[in-house]
Amino acid sequence: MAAAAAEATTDGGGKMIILISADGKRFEVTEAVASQSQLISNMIEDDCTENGVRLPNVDGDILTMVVDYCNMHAGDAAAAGDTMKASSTEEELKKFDAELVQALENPVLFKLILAANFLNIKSLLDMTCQRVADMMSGKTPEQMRETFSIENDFTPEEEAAIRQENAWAFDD
Amino acid sequence: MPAAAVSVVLDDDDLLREIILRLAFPTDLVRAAAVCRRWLRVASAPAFLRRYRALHPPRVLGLFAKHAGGSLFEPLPHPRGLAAAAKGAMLGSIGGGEPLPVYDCRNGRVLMDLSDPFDRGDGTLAVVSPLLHASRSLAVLPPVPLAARPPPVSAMGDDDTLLGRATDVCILLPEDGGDGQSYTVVTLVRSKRVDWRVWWEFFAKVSVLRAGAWDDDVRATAPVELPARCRGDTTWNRALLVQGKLYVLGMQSHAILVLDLASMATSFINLPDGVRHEEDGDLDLFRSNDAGVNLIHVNGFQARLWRRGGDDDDGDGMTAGNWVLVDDIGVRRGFDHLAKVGGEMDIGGPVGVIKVGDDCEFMFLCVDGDVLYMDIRRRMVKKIFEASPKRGGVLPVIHPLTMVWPPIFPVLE
Repeated sequence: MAAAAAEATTDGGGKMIILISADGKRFEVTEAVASQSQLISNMIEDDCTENGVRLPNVDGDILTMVVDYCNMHAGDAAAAGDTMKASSTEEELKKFDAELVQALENPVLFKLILAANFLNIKSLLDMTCQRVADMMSGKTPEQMRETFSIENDFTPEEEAAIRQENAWAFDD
Repeated sequence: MPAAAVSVVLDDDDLLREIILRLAFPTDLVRAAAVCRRWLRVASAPAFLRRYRALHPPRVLGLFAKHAGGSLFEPLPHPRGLAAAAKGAMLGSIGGGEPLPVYDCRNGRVLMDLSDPFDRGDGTLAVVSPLLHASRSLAVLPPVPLAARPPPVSAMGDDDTLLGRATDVCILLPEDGGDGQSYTVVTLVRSKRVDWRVWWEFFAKVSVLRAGAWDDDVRATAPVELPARCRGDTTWNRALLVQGKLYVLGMQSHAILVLDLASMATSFINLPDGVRHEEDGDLDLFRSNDAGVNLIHVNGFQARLWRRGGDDDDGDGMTAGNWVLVDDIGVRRGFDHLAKVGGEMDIGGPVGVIKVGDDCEFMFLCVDGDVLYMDIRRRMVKKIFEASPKRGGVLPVIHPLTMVWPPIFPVLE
């Protein structure tokens, strides 16, 4: 799927660049696809992608997902002038994003957030942060601490104060 | 390393901020703030709260609708994430099901008349905050001084559903809902007329309750001569308090009365060209986030939103409006959506605007006597009440109860 998507955009995307994951896996993508990463876009502008772009804090399995995502979404910008094409891919994109995000669980979700943050891919960061927010929604503070292994460092008085001041946010 | 990704993300304030910014409901945000000290610090930063508020404007939990003798709370269907808050609002509806007059509702606070139902004139008012902790949910205010009292509700006919329609009295909570101990009573007193219908002059008197005590005296403005075009059968029936200034719409007029509560100066602002307040329901005032004054004009199925530009009082007490048309909402589009989700809609009759929320996030409309709630951001319409033949052409009075904002976070050492 990634290969097909990459091929489809090759004509518009022009030059190819190589991304290299922390564990040495290599991904060949068009500049248009890679430019969704603001970090890489800046590197392309500065002409320093000649020997491939090393991404020492992104693992191969995560980079695979990022490249898939960028291949899917490269159409966004490239097809902007072609409204017919854009509208036909919009549904596919939504479906792709929904499936990707639904499948994400701890810890892959959080690794993807780190990658999106490091590579500076805003739409992917938005989407993954939203997923974590949705996981938190409806949980009590205790359940959130449990889910994310966070220690409660409030004094009982401090915690009571938050509850009392904002009684509307608590069921009890 | 693998399991650590969670803590690398959540230990980063910037990433944590981006995540909790996306929590759909302020209830979730407050619970996240109660996780640990660092989360509280991120969630309680003023800049963060401003961003959160812009993305997630406070939802309407329900409304107080005027019935004979008072107002009853009607909950609106709410998303699950607001269950706790909505439950609080329900538990808090006081009066044992008896309708009590509601004068104003701001930021989860309700200004109610608790006086004897057979003698509303005893001036016992209370600020009820159903969403706050039980210890702070009821503040009974000291009796309103005689000089500032509104006329007894029982003396108002059933048709006087808008407080002020017949009497021109506004009792208002401050914009943030206040501390439960402060509000303002403004009465417009007609003082001179040409004949029995045509009023020439009036003055305003203002009484302020601050921190539970009435200001010593009832202040009054100098007599104000009405602009020529406002001298008909004008009633001043829609009031909005923004940054210490009271804006009042005069029916059958081209102007908005502005009363500066600090200086007691009065002035008039012209309505936009071609806009006139012909009848109740064609205009309403609302605040925007940046404390601007905005106007909505409903004409047929078009709702036009006007925003007031800079305040350039030219000295003669009558300022040009400086209105800018900012939006044009097709009311019918919202109705179409309602029809799609199964509601039977017959929209033959005129559309009247009952109440517009801050920033025009929502509005209550009256169509053929039916009361509809329209969520502008979500382009959604919901029918609240069926038409009541008893009402005749009079618009019902509605005070929406919205979520409290912002949360109150304790300051840790």
